[in-house]
Amino acid sequence: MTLALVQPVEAAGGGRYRALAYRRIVLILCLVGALFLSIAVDMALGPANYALSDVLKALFNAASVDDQLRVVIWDIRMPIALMAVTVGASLSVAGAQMQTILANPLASPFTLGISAAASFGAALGLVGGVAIFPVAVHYMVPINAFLMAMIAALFIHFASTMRGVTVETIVLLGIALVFTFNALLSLLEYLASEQALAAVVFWTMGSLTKATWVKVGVTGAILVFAVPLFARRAWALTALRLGDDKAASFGINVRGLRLETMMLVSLLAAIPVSFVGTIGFVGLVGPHIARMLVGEDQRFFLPASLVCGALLLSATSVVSKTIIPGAILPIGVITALVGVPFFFVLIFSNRRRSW
Amino acid sequence: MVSLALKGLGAKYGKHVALSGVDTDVLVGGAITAVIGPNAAGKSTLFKRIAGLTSGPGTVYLSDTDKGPETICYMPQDTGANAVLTVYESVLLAAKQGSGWKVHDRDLTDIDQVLRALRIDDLAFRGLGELSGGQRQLVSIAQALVRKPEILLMDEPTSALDLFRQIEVLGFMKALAVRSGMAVLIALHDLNHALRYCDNTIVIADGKMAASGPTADVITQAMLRDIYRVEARLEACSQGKPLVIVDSSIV
Repeated sequence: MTLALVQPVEAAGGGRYRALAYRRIVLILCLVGALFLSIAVDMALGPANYALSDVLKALFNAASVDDQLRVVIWDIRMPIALMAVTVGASLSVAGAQMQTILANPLASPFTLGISAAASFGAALGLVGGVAIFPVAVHYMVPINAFLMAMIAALFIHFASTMRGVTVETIVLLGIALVFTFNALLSLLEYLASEQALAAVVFWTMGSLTKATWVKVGVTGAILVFAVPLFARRAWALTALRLGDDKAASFGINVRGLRLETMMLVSLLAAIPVSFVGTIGFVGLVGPHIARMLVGEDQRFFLPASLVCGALLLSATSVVSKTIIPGAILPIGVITALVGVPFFFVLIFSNRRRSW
Repeated sequence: MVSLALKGLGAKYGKHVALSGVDTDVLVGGAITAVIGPNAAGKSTLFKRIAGLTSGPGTVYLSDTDKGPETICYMPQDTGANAVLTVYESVLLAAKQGSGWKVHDRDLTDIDQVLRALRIDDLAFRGLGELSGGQRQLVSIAQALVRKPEILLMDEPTSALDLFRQIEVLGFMKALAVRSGMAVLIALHDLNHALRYCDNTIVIADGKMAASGPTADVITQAMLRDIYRVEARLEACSQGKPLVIVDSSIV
């Protein structure tokens, strides 16, 4: 069937589209380059002062350096640097897909109550020694946080399956969850001992200092599991941004796609929060930065969100080590301070294309 | 050439019956069928039911097609204004649904053709959010056409267009249907457009089919009085074509 009632045309728009796509790929590769640079700087920085050449030697020829340097680089700095990458990427991808399926620019693990639920779960362990799931004391706090985060995410997920529930309702439910868990957290803090209160406050600020290879592996594995599933549905997820009716008219099972995405997003959001505490800004802003740079075609938006989130948190990790020499400030606090100026520049230089 | 027929078609939303008893003769490819009726009569519901987007009783019979129900394309009234996508990307994603990531040259040629045919190629790299309602409606038509359906259901495709564009789009659809053998159903409020461009007309009122058949037989003074509650005359225009002239509403 021929569509045109005019003479066949040269693909003039096609050429311009190819150039645009190429530019986006280059942009994403530049972000990846910046990310590697940030990881390298992150590993070079720390209370123990090592020359960059020693750090590189420890990385690429571990046998040639002494045990202390090897332990510092491989067992302390590298897990922290990679945790920043995997957590930033997970939260940003989770935020990107929440914003996509809920058609709301304010959706993120933080604004939908998942982070607040995790904080409450962690506080239950830190203040009352309450294990939601009876396990070794060492893992009680992250497992409490994870379970509460999953409960919040599943609540949002199942609410979204109910007939007549709109995306606006879901966002309102999320806001209600934030207030509920914050109130419960305040109650626990009021009842807590001074020592427990300090622990809760520190946890809710978010910190990468408890990173281990196991935690890096778990967050990385969830990313490796979820991102290809999103990538496989890239055209369909992009079509959701045209509205449910339009997406359905393309043959997409909108309800099924939204549920499948919400399940994956729940995992992506809950696991990092349970390991590192509340880091609110990345899940909200990472996707917005990506959107402003490459638009919302998921073939570009998904990798760009992933890299933007990873870069944002990795850069924040660097800054958190450099503000006060010898001290590492809580990353949840620094994230906003690093991200906001950059975000403002993007918003005001790109007003017409933002949400 | 593709053809379809509707037998006892209805639709339900939960327990609410939104549409019932739609029967038509065979609607053949190459012809345009108008779906008319008052607001909230069930026109969009009929389209969604034909496209398989809602459930309900009855059957949509298709013949002379190898593709099955996926050859039916429903075009909703609007396309997302908030999406951070260019016109070109939004048409590309309509064409690529169910395909891999790779964009082939033939995909781009199809998009260029359809944008040029609708004379919106100058908008190709504008953001959807920068477009007027009418421009977005043209993009929506482009998204539908690039999918190359054999049966196209267009839900009020001209509601936001200026008069020139309305005539241009309907004339284009008429010529395209004849040339390609596509069966086109168009929900319309302008009955003069139905008289001018549509071979058949289905009238929907209160969730039921009130009439169906050749347009000149369906759009009558009696139908206008019963369904639309207006006193109107059908007169011939300077080109000898029938024209609805409304005198007054019936209170």
